[in-house]
Amino acid sequence: MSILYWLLWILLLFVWALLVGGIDRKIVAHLQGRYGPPFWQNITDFVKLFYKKGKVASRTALVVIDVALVIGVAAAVLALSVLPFPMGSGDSQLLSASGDLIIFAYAFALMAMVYVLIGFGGKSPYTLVGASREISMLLSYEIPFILLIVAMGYRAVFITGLPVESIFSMSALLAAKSQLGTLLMDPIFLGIFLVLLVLGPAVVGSVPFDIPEAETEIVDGYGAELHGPRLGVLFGLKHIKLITYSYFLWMVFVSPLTGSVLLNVLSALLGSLLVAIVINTIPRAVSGRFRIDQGAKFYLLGPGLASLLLLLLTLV
Amino acid sequence: MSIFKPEKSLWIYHLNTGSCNGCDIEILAALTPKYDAERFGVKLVGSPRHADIIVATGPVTAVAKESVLRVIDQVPEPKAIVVTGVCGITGGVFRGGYSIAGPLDTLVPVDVYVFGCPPKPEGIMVGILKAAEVLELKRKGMYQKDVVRISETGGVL
Amino acid sequence: MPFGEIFGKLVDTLVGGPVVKPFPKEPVKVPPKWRGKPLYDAEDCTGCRQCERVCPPAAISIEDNKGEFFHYEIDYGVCIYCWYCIDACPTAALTGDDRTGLYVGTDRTQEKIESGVPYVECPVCGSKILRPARTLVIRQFKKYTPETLVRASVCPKCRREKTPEEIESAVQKFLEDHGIPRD
Ligand code: SF4
Ligand code: SF4
Ligand code: SF4
Repeated sequence: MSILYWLLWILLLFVWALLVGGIDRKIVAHLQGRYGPPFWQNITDFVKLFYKKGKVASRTALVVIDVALVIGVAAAVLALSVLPFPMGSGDSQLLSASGDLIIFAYAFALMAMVYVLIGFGGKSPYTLVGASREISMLLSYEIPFILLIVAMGYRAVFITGLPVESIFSMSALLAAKSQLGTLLMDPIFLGIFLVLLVLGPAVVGSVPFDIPEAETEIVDGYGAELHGPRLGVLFGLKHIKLITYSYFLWMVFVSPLTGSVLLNVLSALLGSLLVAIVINTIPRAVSGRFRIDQGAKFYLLGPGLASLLLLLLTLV
Repeated sequence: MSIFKPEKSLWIYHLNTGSCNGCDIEILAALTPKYDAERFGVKLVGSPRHADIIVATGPVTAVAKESVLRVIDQVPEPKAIVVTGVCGITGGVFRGGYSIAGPLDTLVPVDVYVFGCPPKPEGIMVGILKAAEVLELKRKGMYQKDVVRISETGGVL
Repeated sequence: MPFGEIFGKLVDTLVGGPVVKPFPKEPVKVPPKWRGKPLYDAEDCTGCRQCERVCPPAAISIEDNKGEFFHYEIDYGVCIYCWYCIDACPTAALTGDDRTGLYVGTDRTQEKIESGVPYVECPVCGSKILRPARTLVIRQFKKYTPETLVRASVCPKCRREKTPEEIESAVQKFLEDHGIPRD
C-alpha cells in the first residue's frame, strides 16, 4: 500500500518540480520588471519537447545517451526513495537501511555523472567541453558535500545516542529531528544547513554555477546534441534534481512534524519551493555566470574549508 | 487546454547569416523588460537542436551558406523560419554584392518575413507569434504557404 | 561588493511593477519622427527620377516606356526606410508613413507599391508628354481641374515656338473636341 502512496507522491513531486521551475521564471521576471511567462510554462515546455522529431548527428553515440538517461531517472527515484515522504503519520521512508544517507549522496553524484555521460555521448566539441566542466564542478562541490554528509551522520548519532551502526542512516537524522523539534536548533546542524544552501546552486546547476551548460558560450554544454523526447527527459531530470535537493534540505532539517497527511504534504511542497527560491531564483536574479576556475576555487576555499571545520567540530 | 499546447512554448534560435548586427540587437531588445517576449513562452536557446523557431538575420554570405544550411537542417520538425530585416528578405543594401549567396528564401522555405532595417522589436515579436500559427498548422499537417494571411500592419493581434 | 545596492534595485523593481509596454493589447506607439514606408502618389510625380538616383539599396525601380507609360515600383522588401527619396522628390510625390511601426508578412511579394504616370497628348501638336504633376499645375494655375491639366500639358516645344494666341485657340479646340468641362 505504501508503495502506491509513494508512487503517487513522486508523481506529484515531479509536477510540482515543473511548477517550481515556472514560478522561478515568474519571480525572476518580476524582479527584472517584466511579467514573465505563466507559471505553468515549464509544463508546456516539457510536453512540447515530446512532439518534436529531429535528425541525430551521425557521430552521436545514442546508446550512451539513452543508458545515461535511464540511469538518471533511476538515480532520481533512488534518491527520492530514501528520503522521508509525508504520507502516513509523520515522516516515513519507503526504503530504510543503515547507510542510506550514503546512498542519497551517491545518487546525487550519479545524477551529475549522467550529465557527464550525456556530454561524452554527444561527441561534439561543445558537449565535450560541457562534460569536462561538469566534472570539474563535480570535483569541487562533491568534496564539501561528502564531508557534510559525514558530519551530519556523526552529529545525529551524537545527539540521539543511537548505536554507532546507525551512523549515516536517515532514520538517525529523523530521530534527532523529532528530539530537537527541528535540526536548526543545533548550532552544528545550522552550520551544515547553511553550507548546504551555499552548495545548492552548484548541485542543481543554477546560474552562478551553471558553467557546464553555459548557453551563450558553449551552446547549452552537455545537452547541445539532444533534441525532442530525450531533451524532454533531461529537462525533467534537471527539475527533479532541483526539487529533490530542496526537498532534502527542507524535510531533513526544517519541516515541522504534524499528524495530518494534508498538512505534511503542504508543508513539504511549500518548503521545497522556499528552498528552491533561495538556492535557485535569488542567485539567478542577482548575479551572472562565473568562470569555471572561479567556481572551483570558490567551492574548494569557501564551503570546502567550512565543511572541514564543521566535521572537526562534530568529531571533537 | 493551453497548458499542453506545444505552440505556447516557443524556443527561438537566433541565426546570424552575416548581418550588420542591427537586427540582432533588435531581437535581443524584444526579450528585454520593455518588450518581454518571454510572456508568450519565448525563450532564447543556445543550440539549434533545441529550437522551434529560427530567427534569421542577414543576407546569406557565401562563407556562411554551408553552415546556415547545416544549422537549419539540425532543427527538429516542426520548425518555422522567421526572416528579420530586409537584408534577409532580399539582400537589402547588400543586394547583388559579390559575396552574397542568399537571400535565405532562395535556399530554404521561409515562413514569416519581418520588414524593416532594422524592424521594431514589436515587429519581431509579431513575427514570432505568426510563426507559432505556422507551427500549429504544420503540426496538424494543414500548412500551405498562403494559409496565414498578412497581418494588419501595426494593428491589434 | 555592491550586493546591497543590487538588492535595493531588485526591491525597487518589484515594488514599481513591470515596465513592459502594453503592446499586443494596444497598437504600437512609434516615436516622433519615426520613418515608416515611403508612399507614392502618381498624381504628383514629374518623372524626374531623382528618387531612383538617391535610393541607397535601389528599392525604387522605374521603367520609362517613352510615350506610353512611366512605370514606378517601390519594393518594401528592399527599402531601408531612410526617406532619402522623400527628401529628394521635388514635387512631394513621395510622403512618409510616420504612424505605422510594423510590417510583418508571410509573402514578401505582397509588400510593394506598383504604380505609374501615363503619357498625355499635347493639345497643340499632339505629341506625347508625361502627365504634368499636380503640384506644378497648382503652382501655375492655382487649381487642379481637367481644364488646367490640359493647359499645363502643352509641350515645351510648342511653348517655345507658338504664340500665346495659337496655343489658346488650340487648347479651346482640344477642350471642345474631347468634351472636357470648363471651369
Ligand atoms: S536588415 Fe538592415 S539592420 Fe538588419 S541586418 Fe540587414 S542591414 Fe542590418
Ligand atoms: S526610403 Fe530610402 S530605401 Fe526606401 S525607397 Fe526611399 S530612398 Fe529607397
Ligand atoms: S517620385 Fe518624385 S523624385 Fe521620384 S520620379 Fe517622381 S517626382 Fe521625381
